[in-house]
Amino acid sequence: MIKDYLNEKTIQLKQKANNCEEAIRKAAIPLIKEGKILEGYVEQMLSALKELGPYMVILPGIALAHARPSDNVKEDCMSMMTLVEPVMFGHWKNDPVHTIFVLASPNSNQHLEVLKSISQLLSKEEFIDELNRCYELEDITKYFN
Amino acid sequence: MQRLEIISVCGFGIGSSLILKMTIDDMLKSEGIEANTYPQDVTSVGGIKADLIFTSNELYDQIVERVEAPVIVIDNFLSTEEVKEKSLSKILKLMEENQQK
Repeated sequence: MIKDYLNEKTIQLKQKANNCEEAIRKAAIPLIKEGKILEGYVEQMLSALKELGPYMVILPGIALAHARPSDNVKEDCMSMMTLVEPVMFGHWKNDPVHTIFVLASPNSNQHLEVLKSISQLLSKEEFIDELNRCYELEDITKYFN
Repeated sequence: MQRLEIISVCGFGIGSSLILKMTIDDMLKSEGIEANTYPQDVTSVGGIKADLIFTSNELYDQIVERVEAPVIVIDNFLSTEEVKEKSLSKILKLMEENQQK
């Protein structure tokens, strides 16, 4: 279930970030606080962004930050953060980014179901619009039930 | 007839390539096409046998020099329309060629 991953502990709305690095760092904070990932995973994501480019911006306005499964990940987890002011990732078509998802997995297949549910939501314009405007947690979590 | 082998590629084979695989699956299903689809990470794509490869603009250069199969660039990984527009005629052609083998 999505709500096991994305809930009041892991969702941050209307945050401020000056650039894409800061946005990824901030979006990952709840997962570090919960002990689900170590700081090292954040560095892994940032070096992936540097080495492989902004391919993680998988559709207009939305980044799915992730890195290789590693010891820095303690369990399958996700977090989500929306921004007051969107930031640029350097993607030729899908910039600027207003919502960042962080995805972490200690192996490569357990999170398949939740990823499937998320991608079904992301293919709906209504959900993307809601991400863009919402200030209340409930407006987002209602999609995750 | 042998099924087409279709691969979606991202940096690590666990996030965006899985989402792209699902979008490709949706498109194939709505067109009534049966094919094998797999997510893959960019470092191991060179040794993989495939008929068709999907990836992002950023990874295209790294992939195209290491594979023989045609590589299709997708900008919106959630858009079945984009996937269809850029690949359907290619897929139908590959299936036809496969049948003649």
